[in-house]
Amino acid sequence: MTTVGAFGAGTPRVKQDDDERWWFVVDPILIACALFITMLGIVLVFSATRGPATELDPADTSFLERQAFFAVVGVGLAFGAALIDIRRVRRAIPLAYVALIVLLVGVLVLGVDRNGARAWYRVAGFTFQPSEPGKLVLIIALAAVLAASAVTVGRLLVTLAVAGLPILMILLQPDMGTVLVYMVVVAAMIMMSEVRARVIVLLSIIGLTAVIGVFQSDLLADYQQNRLTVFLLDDAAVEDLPLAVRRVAYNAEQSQIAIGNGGISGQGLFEGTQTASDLVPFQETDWIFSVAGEELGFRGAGVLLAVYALLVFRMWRIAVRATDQFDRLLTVGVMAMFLFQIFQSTGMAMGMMPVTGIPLPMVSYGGSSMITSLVAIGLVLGVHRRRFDYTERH
Amino acid sequence: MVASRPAVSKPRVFTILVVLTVVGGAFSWRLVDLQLTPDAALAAEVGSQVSEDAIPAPRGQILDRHGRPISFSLPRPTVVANPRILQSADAADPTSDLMAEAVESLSQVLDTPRDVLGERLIRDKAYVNLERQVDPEVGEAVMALAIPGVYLIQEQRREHPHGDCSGLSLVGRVDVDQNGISGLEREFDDRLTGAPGLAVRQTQAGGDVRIPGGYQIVEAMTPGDDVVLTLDRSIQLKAEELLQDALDDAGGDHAIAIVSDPNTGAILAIANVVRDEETGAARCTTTNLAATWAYEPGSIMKALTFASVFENDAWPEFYPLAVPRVLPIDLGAEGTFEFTDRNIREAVEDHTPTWALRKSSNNATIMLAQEVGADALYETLVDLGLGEVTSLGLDGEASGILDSLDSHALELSNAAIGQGVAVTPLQMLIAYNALAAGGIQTEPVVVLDEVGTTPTTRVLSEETAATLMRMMNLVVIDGTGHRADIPGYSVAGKTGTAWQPCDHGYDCDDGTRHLTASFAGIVSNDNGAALSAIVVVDNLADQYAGGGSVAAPVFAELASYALQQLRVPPTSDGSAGVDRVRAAAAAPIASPSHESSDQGAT
Repeated sequence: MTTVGAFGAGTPRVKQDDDERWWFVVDPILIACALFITMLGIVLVFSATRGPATELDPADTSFLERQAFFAVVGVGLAFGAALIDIRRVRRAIPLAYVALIVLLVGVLVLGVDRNGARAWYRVAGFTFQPSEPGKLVLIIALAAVLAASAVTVGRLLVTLAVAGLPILMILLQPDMGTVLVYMVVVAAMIMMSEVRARVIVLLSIIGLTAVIGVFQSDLLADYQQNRLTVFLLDDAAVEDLPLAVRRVAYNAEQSQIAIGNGGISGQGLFEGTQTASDLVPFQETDWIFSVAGEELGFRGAGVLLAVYALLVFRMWRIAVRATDQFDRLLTVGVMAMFLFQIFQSTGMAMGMMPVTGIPLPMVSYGGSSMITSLVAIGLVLGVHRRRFDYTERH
Repeated sequence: MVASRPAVSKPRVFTILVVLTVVGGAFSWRLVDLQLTPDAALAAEVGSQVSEDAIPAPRGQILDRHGRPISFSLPRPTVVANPRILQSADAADPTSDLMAEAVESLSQVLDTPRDVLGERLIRDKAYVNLERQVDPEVGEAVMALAIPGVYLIQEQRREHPHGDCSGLSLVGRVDVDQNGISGLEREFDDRLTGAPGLAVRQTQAGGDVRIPGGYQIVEAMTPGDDVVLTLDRSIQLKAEELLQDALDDAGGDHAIAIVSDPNTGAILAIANVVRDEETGAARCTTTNLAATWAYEPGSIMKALTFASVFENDAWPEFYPLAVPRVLPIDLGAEGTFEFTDRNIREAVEDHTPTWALRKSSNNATIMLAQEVGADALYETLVDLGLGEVTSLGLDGEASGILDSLDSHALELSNAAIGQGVAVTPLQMLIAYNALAAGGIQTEPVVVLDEVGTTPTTRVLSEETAATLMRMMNLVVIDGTGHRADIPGYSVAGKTGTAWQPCDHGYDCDDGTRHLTASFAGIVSNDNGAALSAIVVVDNLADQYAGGGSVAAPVFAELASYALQQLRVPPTSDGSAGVDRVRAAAAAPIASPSHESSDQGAT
């Protein structure tokens, strides 16, 4: 295996007083990207939820207020996550993992049913989706398991077991979208670990076979299959599908109409026809990208995607520069999580991806997702802060 | 310390970069495709999967002077059907005749003929009305039948607290779509009708699938405004009830009562009752006979004739005139017409105008009218509002008949005693209101907001009005109208028992006469006139009955009730009318000589 300084990053200039210089310790570009996306997201959520805002019925600011509150909490927690050295609290990782499993089992029993999935706790007026912070718990746990100089088959099996349990729990909710996120994260982390290439090839073949097998078998209900494939069908074919699937198709079509309606410069903030008329169901959560598409147009949606790209690139840069395998895998996991959610959420809105409920990080309405995304960025910033710190290497 | 990073596998990084580039490229292309190359098919659908629903605006209420509803709308189920659903359900089940069963059961529940329902249910339509605005129980019964394609929608139905007896002859009616078609419902239709709102309902491309949460109010509906009338719901109901009783007792065709405030012209009640041709029972009618039916008023006209006498200074109030029992009227070539007055027992008697009104003497009234002259009497009657529709301009309001009284020798004589002319009860009451309000006539008003804004005209001198009030008070205290007396108040009024034209002049084929009993009067206390009312009962069964025996008691009962409702205090001495006069009559009368001797002793 060859060692490369990815993206031309050579030997770092190590200075004894680096820790004294804060601008060396933080990644301002990553922070700026995250804050930009978060604030834009709050505006887009407001646009999607303000209602028609007539004289009689003034704009609804409740979603705006809650989303802003989540953002503030998220930024605060992210700050904390960046400051602690996650490697020092390794002993707590099994505890967090067990807590996650308990919460995931508990939600199947105590959770509230929303849109056909039992994925949420309802506590004191807020809903809490354990599978969201669960992503971070799993990433940290897998980073700990996989951070070895050589990943043996035994270690790999442990990895799959550790990942499989929560995935199974979420499958039972059932929340297909989140399952996909988990699987992509696991795959990316295995791929970037010190596992032999042939094992990866083998795993890929097994994985592909499994996916095809699932689709061919009766494991998925017809409507689940239809949901996943409906984006490929034309209108005439959709007509024959059951109501639940036609609603999904409707949602996807309305979203594409909205984005197409945006054109180059968009309809203007709060001016989107589809958005203001509330024509795209669940627009503030899974379909939030259609708001950006319609109201901000190609320019605005392009900028949003570009800032996401920059954010992911900064994570990649941090991953490559990490001096510790745990830190690197942690960053890769977060990056994979972001990448897949961005691709999935925007792709779904544009009719390129199956319809699965996945939030657009830091943009979609929802406290669990917002806080999880921001804390994830905090963790990555922590990795960045520790990049010259070799003493704690493992 | 030497910086040493963990190794990164080059092929893997390469693979990731390729994947990211391909996926990122595909996304960018898709965004370009969607947003920069306009897709006509998608663009056409912007906002288009929306169907618009009108949000019906409730019609305003019609309220009485105390804000109590007289006419208001309540939601009522309308039974509708999608015949196609029923037809296909019928066709799908060859073992039973679903259609026939549906028609049969609906016919029973809705009380609608089978052929009507059957004809509607076999149409190739997605929507038909089966029965509109039924009672809620009927709606529940229909839903209990669980017939495929038959369901309910909510509509509004106009309701009245006392049915037709809620003053509907004035208030009017609405059609099944809540449009005012008569009476005040039509006159104030614009005010009562609100502005419907608009809602958008999202549907799936197929059009029949509602999207959850996809309903939004774009424009709120504005409910119709209420109209507050001068009517008093309680007095109105009392009037309708009393008239029904009177009609049952007196055996008439129809009866009318109006109660008003003479000072403002405000109409407090306007009741019309007819005898149902089928059942023979008296019932409230929505036809406003009070304004649309003109009749020969008879003796209640005499008060107006006397007003003309004093207004024109034709004869002094206390100056007696020689009244013959038989009064000949020279008709020239037609010979002579003779009026016989049963109040005069001798060939000729000396009587004052006060006596004449009290006893309702025809000959005295005719002689006084002759003193006034045809032109002057006609002028007074026109001034008082006869012969012309009132300013209310109600539906189908009659102007009555009042022509110049000089084209025939009998016209003046007949008009003086209320024959040969036609008036509506409403016109007559408004004329009496001028007497009650010191000679000032206020145009009638039925909307509370307009009270005090309608024009007032002085039609008689204050003195004339006061004189007539005094004289009419005596009619009630000691005259034909004594049954109209209300203890504790001062009542002034005039009875009338008129002949209506029948088969041959005023004679009917069966030898009877078509008699109409009337009483018009004013109730006063220390503060002056408090209310006025007219009661008319047409076509009495008893040939010896009249205004004094039929109409006056109804007036007394109706006015007493209205006085209570309006909280009008009695006169301060606690007893007025008959009691006071009788007490005065019983007291010894001081003689002039006695007085002078007292003075001499001093």
